Amino acid sequence: MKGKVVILLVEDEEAHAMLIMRVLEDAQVAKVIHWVADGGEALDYLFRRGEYVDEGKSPRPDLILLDLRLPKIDGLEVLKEIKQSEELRGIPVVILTTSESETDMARAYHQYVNSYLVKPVDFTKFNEMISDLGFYWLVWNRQPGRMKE
Amino acid sequence: MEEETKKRPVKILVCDDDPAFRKLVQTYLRSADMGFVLKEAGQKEEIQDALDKGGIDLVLMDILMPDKSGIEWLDEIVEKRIAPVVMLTGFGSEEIAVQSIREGAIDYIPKDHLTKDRLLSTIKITLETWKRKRAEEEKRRLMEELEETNQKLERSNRELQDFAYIASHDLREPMRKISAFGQLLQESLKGKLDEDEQENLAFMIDGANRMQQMIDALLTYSRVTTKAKPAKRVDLKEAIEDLKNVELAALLEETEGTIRIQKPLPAVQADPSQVHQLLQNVIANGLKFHRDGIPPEIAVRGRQEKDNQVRVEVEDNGVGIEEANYEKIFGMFQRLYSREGYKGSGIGLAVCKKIVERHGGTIGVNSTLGKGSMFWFTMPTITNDELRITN
Amino acid sequence: MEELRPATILLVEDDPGDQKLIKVSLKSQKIANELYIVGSGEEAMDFLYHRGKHSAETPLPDRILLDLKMPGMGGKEFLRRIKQDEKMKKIQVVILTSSDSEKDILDSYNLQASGYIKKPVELGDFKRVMKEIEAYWFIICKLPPKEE
Repeated sequence: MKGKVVILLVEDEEAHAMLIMRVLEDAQVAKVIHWVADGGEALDYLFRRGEYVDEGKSPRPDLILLDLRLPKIDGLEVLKEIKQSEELRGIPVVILTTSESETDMARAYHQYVNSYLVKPVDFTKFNEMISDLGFYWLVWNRQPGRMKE
Repeated sequence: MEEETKKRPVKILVCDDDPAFRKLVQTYLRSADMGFVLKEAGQKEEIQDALDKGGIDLVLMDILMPDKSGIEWLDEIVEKRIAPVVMLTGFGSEEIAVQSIREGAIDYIPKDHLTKDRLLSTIKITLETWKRKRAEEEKRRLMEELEETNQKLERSNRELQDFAYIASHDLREPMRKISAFGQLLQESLKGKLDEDEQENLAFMIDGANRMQQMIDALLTYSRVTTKAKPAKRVDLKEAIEDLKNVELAALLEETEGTIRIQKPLPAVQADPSQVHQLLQNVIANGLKFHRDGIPPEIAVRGRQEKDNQVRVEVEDNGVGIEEANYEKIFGMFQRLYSREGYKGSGIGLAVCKKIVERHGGTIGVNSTLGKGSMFWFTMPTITNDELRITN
Repeated sequence: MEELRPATILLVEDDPGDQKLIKVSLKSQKIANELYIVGSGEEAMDFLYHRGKHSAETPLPDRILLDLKMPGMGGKEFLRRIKQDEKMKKIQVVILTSSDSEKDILDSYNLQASGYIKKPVELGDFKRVMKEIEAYWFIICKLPPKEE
């Protein structure tokens, strides 16, 4: 049984974050989107530390959208910690970045990223991609723990 | 015991190689005038003979017997559960006396302390103890038997569930192929078949699809027990809000239905996903079976009952159910209406019943035809400890 | 998006019926792809390492669609092996199975599967999901540049 769908969005650019949230909300795939602006906060949220100690404040996400260039802790480092944690490994992580660098892509795949998306410059295409990706991961793909506890 | 002695004389076997001592015992017992029947045995063969013939109610056994010791006899009598044994001990044989008790003698009398009163009271106590012991043994045996039967039942129940799960799980795959390739055939033959042939193919595909739905339903049903999770505190209001937003959203929109929660609902202690499923099925049932042109209105109430149960009522304004069908609707694949009129697996309420009963509750319905139905069920309430933790 | 090159897909699936259904569903899309089909985990290993009847030069696939329940080497064991191989681990593996058991889902992610899709029961849904898989994994997610 599916419960509320939760997305954790890790994005330092506020404009991008707002846009992504709007598109996902319009596509009606996610009920709850948590936005954090740096890698440190993302890890605090996921590992329920600091201001996220309370489980109610940090529901387990069904999908993590992760930017690569982040303040404090880098996106790849966040990815690494997620995929090394037995608790969190099952949550799909989608890298959402402007970097087309092959090194970045290779590094992300090396850390078992679930998929790597390059943000299109074109506004419409960007919208389409976000909506498609939300739909793909939250409607078609299965993750553990989507059953109501 | 006295009553028993009146009914049937108590037969006592005295085993002692000393005839004078046997005589003494006989004298004591006779003078008691309680209808004792005495059987005397001094030799190994005599004892064996008396025991083999049976009907002995009590054995008085000298510890020092020729050929075969009193302890050996005791072991045999205890082993075969022939009768209670009272050991007769000589001077200085305290140790053996204690050993004999360990090995199953009910009591012992030192020969040099033998008086009529001592003998009679020992016999009385021994017979009572023996009777009680036998009763306890019988009870234990029955309990063991019951336990064994229970285990057998549980085992075969589990096997049956596993079978249902495996059967439905593995049957799904070939059914999926029949339906999928049937549909592919239907697409590729479009325009090439006459009306009759088209219909035949459509019936085939429809049958396969229905079979698939039934298999899925069976799987859901068997999962209630095979995939059960531990009980937790479940907030019913929260569960219903979730259902409104997710699982029942489409149905609510389609039927223009509403769900109203009257007053705060008590929490229950149950498998959370099963509570979800239970509420979903009961509410969906109310939404689906609405009267023509009248949007369904569902009202949910709940109250704390005595004996640690919560009673939940889900009332609708739908088509209603005839009293004759109150039981039937909770059965597997029971439908009161045609498949065309009302879609569904025909298993929703059977699953509800299984979930409720698995939690030790009951489920039922009261209804007025053409006015609406009120489904109710009971579930265990949360214990005070739980309350303290969650609050 | 930019110029798309044909994607190379390796389908690891033992059921001939599903092989065909997947092939038919992928074909009905406009996306150009090269689909290779193998019937077991062992054969998939042979394909990747150019052994046995796959000793001829076969391309390294861009993505692998992997069934879980197969006789012999199952999907999980295959996944475990290729994710331990420095050269193969970057290939994204999407599980495509009839199982929706929590354990299978969890095991798959623990073994670093990229995604997990349950084969839908309805043909229409099946085609739809294949279309979504193609669109997502081959168009939205950029294919890695062709090398080796």
